[in-house]
Amino acid sequence: MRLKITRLSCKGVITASQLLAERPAAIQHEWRLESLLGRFVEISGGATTAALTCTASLILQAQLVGESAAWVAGGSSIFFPPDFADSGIDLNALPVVRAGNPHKAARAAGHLLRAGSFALVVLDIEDDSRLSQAAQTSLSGLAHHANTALVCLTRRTGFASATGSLVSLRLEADRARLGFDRFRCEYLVVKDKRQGPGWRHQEVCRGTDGLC
Amino acid sequence: MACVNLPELPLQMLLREHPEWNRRPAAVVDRDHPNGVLLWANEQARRHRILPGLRYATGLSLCRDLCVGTVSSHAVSRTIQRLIRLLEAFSPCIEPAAQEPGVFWVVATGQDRLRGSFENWATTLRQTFAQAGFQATVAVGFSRFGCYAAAKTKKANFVFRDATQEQTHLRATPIECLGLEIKARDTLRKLGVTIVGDFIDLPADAVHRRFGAAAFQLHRLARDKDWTPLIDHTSSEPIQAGQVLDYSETNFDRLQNLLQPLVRSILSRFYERREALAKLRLSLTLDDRSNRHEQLAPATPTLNEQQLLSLLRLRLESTPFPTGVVELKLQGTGSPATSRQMELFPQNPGRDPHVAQEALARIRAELGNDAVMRAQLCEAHLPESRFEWRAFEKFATAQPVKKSCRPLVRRLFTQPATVPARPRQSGKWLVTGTTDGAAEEIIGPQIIEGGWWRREVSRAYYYVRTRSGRWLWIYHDRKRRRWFLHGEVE
Repeated sequence: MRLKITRLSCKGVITASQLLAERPAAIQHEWRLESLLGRFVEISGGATTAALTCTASLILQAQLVGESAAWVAGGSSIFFPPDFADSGIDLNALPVVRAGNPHKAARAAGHLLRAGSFALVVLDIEDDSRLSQAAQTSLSGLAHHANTALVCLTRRTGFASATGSLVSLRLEADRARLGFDRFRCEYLVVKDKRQGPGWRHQEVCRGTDGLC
Repeated sequence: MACVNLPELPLQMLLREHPEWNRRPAAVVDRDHPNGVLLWANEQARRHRILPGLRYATGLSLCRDLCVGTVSSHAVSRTIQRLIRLLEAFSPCIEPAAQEPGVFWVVATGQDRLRGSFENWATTLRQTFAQAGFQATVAVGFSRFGCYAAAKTKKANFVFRDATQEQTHLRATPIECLGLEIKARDTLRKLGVTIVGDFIDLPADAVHRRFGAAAFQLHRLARDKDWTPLIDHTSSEPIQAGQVLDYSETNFDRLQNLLQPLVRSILSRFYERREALAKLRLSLTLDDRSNRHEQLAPATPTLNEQQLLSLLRLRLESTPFPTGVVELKLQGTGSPATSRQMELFPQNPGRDPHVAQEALARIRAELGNDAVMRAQLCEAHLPESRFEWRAFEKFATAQPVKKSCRPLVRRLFTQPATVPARPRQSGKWLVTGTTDGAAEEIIGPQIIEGGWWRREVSRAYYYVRTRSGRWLWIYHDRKRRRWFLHGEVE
């Protein structure tokens, strides 16, 4: 098989891997909260994840247009609030639900989605924990009905999604150091039921206090 | 900065429509009825003491030759759009005044080099407007309000040489030019406040208390406290939104549900541009690869979502499709919105903060009163003391700040985890075991000490990059002589 692909490449035929490698450069979609409304979104990443930084940008977008956002924490860790404030987020307008475990977090997220008053609900679940299929079905339906972006933060890479097939958009947030006090955060969409996968968005961030 | 003033624009529009009224007393009324109120009156009408605010019938009793007409807000919007197109030849950035039709702020920077001088630029601009049938005055200066005051008071174009000259002129401007309410203006005159300089010197709180919010806003503007950058209105690029469906949709109700967020998205973006939607183009891709295009136009440019959705529904129902729809595209063309439209358009349609409060109350009932919190920043050195969790009581209007370069965000572990001590020799430091590999880069220490009056804390914080790429945030507790993982950069 490898031999065949090599031969095709030699003959000038573009292989699937080349297409995937070239496609992101050609497709530049706008990374806006509006495009996520009504969808079940999973933001994941491996060791070099920038999931929290990516989510902070979504919360900031929501607050800038006068919409409400909420954070549901289902694990034993949480974002560092001074960094969110440094990103421009108004912490007074960001309710944080400390549910304790993913099951309770999913129930709390359901309450928030059912209200229909939030543009963005972030579900920060514990590492290596899966949401049940029933919970995912319910949450994705509620998100669609309420026109709310339900963003689920997980820590998986590649095709091993922590959530299931109900995820409408899945992206991997990755960061890399560019130079002194500058980091590139890249969001690569690996699954998009509406526009197709492969597109990416980049932004340059600075380091946190002391990291430069 | 420059201000272009077309005095009494609706009256100028009326007289352009009826050139025979130029030598006769003429006025614009809000409605063609004896009880209609005169909004603007020309010089000949003023000579007969026919002033804005009088009834049409009263005006007729003062002068039988009075000619009146109405000018719709839609017509004014169209004219403003036309004037913006004229101004585009003179400036890259134009902002029409939201409350006062006929006033435009434009960026004049660099025009003196292009046209020889600011005087030449202003003269050419005025001539262009005259050829289009409008009288205009141009003032070039350094601040919004300074230019505005000059454009309102001067009969000819005026260029300020420096900011001091502008301030001097502004302070000497009669308060009649400010557009204050008649009652407030008369009260000020009784107090001996006849020029803007005296008005500016009044205490802001007193202005707000005695003359209301509108006068207070004007006072702040005159003091240059509410300075905002110009909002460019030259770009009237159409706004697009679309959605590709995973399936072929044939049901009209479901199709309308899909169109709703797209319409909302377009309207919110028009709102940001201070425009209203004038035309809407709907493009549908059908399952048989054919395309269908529909064009809709509301009666007047609108920001009303329901009105547009009902128009879309009517159009879709009138033209059944042979197959299902697989892709939707909407393209809106805008025109400047009126101030009334801007007031009516809700920032977040359909989102009710009271219902959100109820949802949070349900979560509190289920998970406990401490389940719904908000973070409050504190003045402290230790990371866990730099904020505290407080009960989230009610929704306040968010006041976010847009940053040009945001920082990365750290994840904080509620309970710091113990990690192996840093090897004293040059050995490999497996901070989180073998999964992430050895530490490859260490930044620090950042020493944090305090609490000597209670329980002394001395920590040395480090950022550690593992071979896998994780940036761990760890500290060495000097008192306990142990290492802890406190967080991670994400």
